[in-house]
Amino acid sequence: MEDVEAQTHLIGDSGEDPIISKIALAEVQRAIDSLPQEQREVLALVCGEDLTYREAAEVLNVPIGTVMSRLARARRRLVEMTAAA
Amino acid sequence: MSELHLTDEILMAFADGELDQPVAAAVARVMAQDPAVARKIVEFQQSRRLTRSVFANNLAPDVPSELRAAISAKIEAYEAAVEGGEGKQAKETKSIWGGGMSPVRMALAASLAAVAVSAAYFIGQHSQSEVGRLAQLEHPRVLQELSRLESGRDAELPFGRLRVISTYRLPDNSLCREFRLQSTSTSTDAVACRTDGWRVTFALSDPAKGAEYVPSSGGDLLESYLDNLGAGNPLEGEAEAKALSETAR
Repeated sequence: MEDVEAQTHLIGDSGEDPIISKIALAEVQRAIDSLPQEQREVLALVCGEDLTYREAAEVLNVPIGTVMSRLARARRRLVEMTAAA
Repeated sequence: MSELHLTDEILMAFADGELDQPVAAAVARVMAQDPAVARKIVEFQQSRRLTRSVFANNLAPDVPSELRAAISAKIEAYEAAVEGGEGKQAKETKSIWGGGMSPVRMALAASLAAVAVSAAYFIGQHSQSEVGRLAQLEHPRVLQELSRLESGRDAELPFGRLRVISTYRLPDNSLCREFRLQSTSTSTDAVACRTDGWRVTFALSDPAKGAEYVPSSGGDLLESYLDNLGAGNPLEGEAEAKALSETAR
C-alpha cells in the first residue's frame, strides 16, 4: 500500500522529512481541486489509472493530442503549485 | 539533418513511457546532456507519482457520477479486452474514485522512460548527499581508472572500491562504461560515457527503501538504460583494450 510517509522517496532524496511529503500531498490535492474538470479527468485516467494516452482519448472521446495537452497543462500546474508550497 | 523539438508533451510522453523507442532514445540522449530537460522529465514523473498517491489515498476531488459511471464502464471494457489478449499489459486494479483499493502498477514500471528518469532524478537533484555522490563518481581518480581498468577489475580508491563492470561502444561511436562505486555506506551503479572526457550519465544508488515504488531491480534499470542508448553487446578482450587505448590519446 502507498502511504503518505512513503512519499518521502518520491518527492526528494532519502532523509527528507516526511512532513514535507504530507505538505506536498496536500498541495497536490489542492492543485487537482483547482484544475478544470477536463484536466482532472485526463489526470485521473492516465496518472490514477495508468491508462495510455490512446485509451484515455477513447474513454473521453477526444483526440490523443487533446489528452496530451490537457495532461501536460495539468501536470505543469501541479508542479508549480507543489514547488511554491 | 532532423532535429527533435522537445515540447512539454514529448517530455511528458517520455516520462510516461508513451514514446516509440527511436524517439525515446533521442530524448534520452538529450536528457543525458541537458539538465534542464532532465529536470522537466523528473517533474513530469513526480507529478504522476504524486497524483497517483492522491487518488490512491482517496483524496481525489469528487467526480460527477455520470462521468464516473461512463469511465468505469470503459475501463471494464478495456480490462476485458486486455484479458482477451489484446492491447497492452494488464492493468491490475481500477479504482480511482472511491474503490478504496490501491493501484498496483506504478508509474515507475520498467519502462525506458522510467529508467532514464531515474538517472535524471539522481543528476537533477541538488541535496548535499547526491551532489557529493556524483562528485565522487566523477572524481579524477575514478575517471582515470575508467580509462585504464579492464572490465571485471577493481581499484581501491580513498573513498571506496571501484569496479568496472563492462564497456560499450554506442552507435554514435562514443564509449561508455558501466561501473560500481562501493563505499561503506553506499553502493552506486553508474554509467559514464566519453566524448571529450568521461561524464557520468546514469547513476543509481542504494535501492529505494519504499520497495513498492521500484518494481525493477537496479540492475534491470541500468540494463534498460544501456539498451536505450543502443549499447549492444559489451566489448571484450582486445576490442575493449583497443577502445581504452584510444581514451589515452
